[in-house]
Order: sequence, then C-alpha cells, then structure tokens
Amino acid sequence: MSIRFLFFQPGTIVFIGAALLSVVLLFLSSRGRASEDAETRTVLNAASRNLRAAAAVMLFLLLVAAVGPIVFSTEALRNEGLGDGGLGDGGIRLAPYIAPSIAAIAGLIVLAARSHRRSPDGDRAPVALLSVRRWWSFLSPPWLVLAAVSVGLLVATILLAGLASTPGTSGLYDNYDLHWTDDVFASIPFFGWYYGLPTLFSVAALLLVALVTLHRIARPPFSGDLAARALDATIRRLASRGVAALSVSAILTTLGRALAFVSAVATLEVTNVVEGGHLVTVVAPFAALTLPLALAGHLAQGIGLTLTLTLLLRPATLLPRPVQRSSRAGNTVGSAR
Amino acid sequence: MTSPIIRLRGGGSPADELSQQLRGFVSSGRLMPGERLPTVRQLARDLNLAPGTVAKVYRILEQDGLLRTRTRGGTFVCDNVPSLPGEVVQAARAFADVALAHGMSIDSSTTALRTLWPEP
Repeated sequence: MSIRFLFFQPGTIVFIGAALLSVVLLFLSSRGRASEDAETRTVLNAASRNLRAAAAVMLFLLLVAAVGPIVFSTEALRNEGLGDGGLGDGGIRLAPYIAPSIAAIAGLIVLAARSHRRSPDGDRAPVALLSVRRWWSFLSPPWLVLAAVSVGLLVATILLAGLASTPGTSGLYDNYDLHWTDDVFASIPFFGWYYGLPTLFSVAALLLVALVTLHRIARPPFSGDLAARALDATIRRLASRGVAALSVSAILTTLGRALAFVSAVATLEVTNVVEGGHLVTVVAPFAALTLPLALAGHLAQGIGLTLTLTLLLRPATLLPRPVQRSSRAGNTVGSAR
Repeated sequence: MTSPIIRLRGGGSPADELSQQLRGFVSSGRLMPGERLPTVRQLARDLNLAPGTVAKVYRILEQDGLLRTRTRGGTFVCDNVPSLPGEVVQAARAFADVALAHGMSIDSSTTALRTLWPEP
C-alpha cells in the first residue's frame, strides 16, 4: 500500500480535515481573549487538563477499536481461514458502531473522576443563589440543539435501515436483499437491526451517563464569594461544554459510520439477461443517495472527530475568560464568551 | 444571569431569616413578578437546611400572596405582588452602596437608619 494511496483514503482525508478544522477553530477562539490573573489561570488550567485527559482517553479507545479488529481479524484469518469464527465474529462487526459511545462513556467517567468539587465557603455562613440550576443550566443552547439533531438523525437512520434490512443466512437482520425476481436477487451485509439495536443501546447508555455527569456538575451550591462564584461558574460551563462535546462527537462518529455503511450498500445492483440477450440492471431504491450519504457520513465523522480534537489540542491559554463582574449585587455567574 | 443571594447569618431561626430575605427581595423588586425560584430541594441543599423548612417558608409566602406554586411546574413570584416604590428602592440601594464603601455591616447600617428615623 503506497503512501499516496493511503493519503487519498476517505478516512485519512476526514482525519486531516478534522485536524485542520480544529486548529482553525482554536485560532479563531483565541482572538480577543483577555489575560487572567495567576490564581484564575491555575484553576482554569486544571479544568482544561481534565478535559484533555477525557478527550485523550476517548481517542485512545477509538484507536484501539479501529486497530483491534484488524489485528484480530488477521490473526483469526491466519488460524481459521474464512469460516465461521473468522472475519464474521459479532464483536468485530459491531465494534465500529458501539465503540464511539463506549469510548465517550470512558472519557466522561475520567472527566467526572478528575473534576474535584470546590468547597463553597468552608465554615462561612451558607449562601444560596436564587436561580434554578438544572443539568442544562451551564450549556449554551447550540450544544443542546446539536445533540438533539445528532441523536434524531442517528435514530432515524437506524430505524429506516432496520426496516429495510432482511435476515441473512444466520437469521440475523444484517442483510439487504435486492430482488430481480423472487428467485433472483443479490444479498449484501447491511446496517440492519443486528447493528442498529446495539448501537441504540450504546447511545442510550452514553446519554444517560452524560446526563448524570451534567447533573453532578450543576448540583453543588455556589460559593458566597463573588470572585470564587464567577470562577466556579466558568469551570462548570467549561466542564459541561466538554461533556457535550464528547457526547456529540461520539454520536456523530457513529452516525457517520452508519451512513457510510448504508451508502456502500446503495451501490448494489443486480444484472440479469432478459429475452433477446439484453442485459438489464436493477439498482437499489436509494442508489441515488450513494454520494450524498457518503459525503454526509464523512462530514459527520469529521465534525465528530473535530469536537474531540478541539478538546485535546486546546491549550490552557485559550480558556474562556471568567465572568465580567457585576458592579452592584455581585452575583453574576455567567461568563464572557 | 443575575440573581439575588440568600445568606443565612444565624441571627434567628433559619426559616425566619429565609422568609424575611425572600420577602425583601420580592418587595424590593430584586425578584421580579413571574420569576422562578429554586426548587425546595436545591435551596435546602445550598443552605444546609431540611427540605421541610424551605417548603414551610414557601408555603407561608404563598399564603401571603407573594409566591405561587404550580404542581410539577415550580415556584414563582406572584404577578401582582405589592412592591416598594421605585424611589425608595433606588435610595436604599444608594445607601447600601455608600455604607459598603465605608466598610459598614448591615447591622450597623440598619442601626444608623433606625437612629436617623424621625419619631412618629
């Protein structure tokens, strides 16, 4: 395999595009930032390190999930040939679709474990901010919209592909049949219920862990001190954004892989000889969507990878500024963007 | 997001302190009509109080027409609460700012105000 061939692989292009996009996003977000004092910078740097660790764990597990099946398949092929238990092993086939969620769950656990709670006020009088704190309180609306759209698209893809799937020789819904007649048809592995249901369960588990993590971030009381409260709000906003980025990244990566699978099947065609010796070709009903599905798949994977890379590559100096202080009541907990 | 802060100083029973401060925020306009208050659980956790204490305070303020609670919808400031005149609120804020600038506590400021208050 030449370097040139490797370079023009879709996966390589997606990775390079995601890396370049991450750098551009980081460059744009670094413009116009004010400098913080040393103490603030130390606390924010610690929060940033937690995010980087979570992103690193997620990317490492994704890499293992990508390389592991290749090594395993090669080994199985060498030992057992192409028979059962070789390339058709269920775990290997499912890995690309459930690995992103599992990797993101591991990243979220690392993030939750590393994020230490700041003691609000020690032995000072207890204080309470009269605002409602929910799990979404520290997330900006675009993140919620992006997450909802990603989940919606993934669920729609799984449902539509599942309904179109047919049982294969093993009885599992992992095939797509393109019929010419009742007897003449082509069958090809497809993103059916066999893949879709475990994917749905893994994404549901990821969403549950993300909700619990966001709830744990929002739950603790605020400090009574204005500066500490502002810093606390900034850290919570940063952590919540990290949770959203890891979760959406995993969902988009899964969606991208599912779309790529469907687009590959869309190229299926059956050619048969009819009376008069003419060749007639029947294509899949969604053959026209081959290119859009493939592009959408690469785009979703690229955006997903960019979200995690942006967390991983984000240097400490690019952290959001702490809050602009209110001149009067001193109870502003927002953060300047 | 600008929200008033409840601070329990231990000057009386927690329920009285909480009730007094909530009344103050509502009547001074710091809590606007229709504004949503934290849940009983959240406020109790933040202030290290029993949830029953906060629920009791909310109930009393509800009876007094300051708050209203929707089932499963949360607790809100009533739309037609009697509030202080705007000029009084402004003057009180100015007084608080000046007193704070001179390092005075709320107790000494209140004492000063009581001393200056004209006899009826």
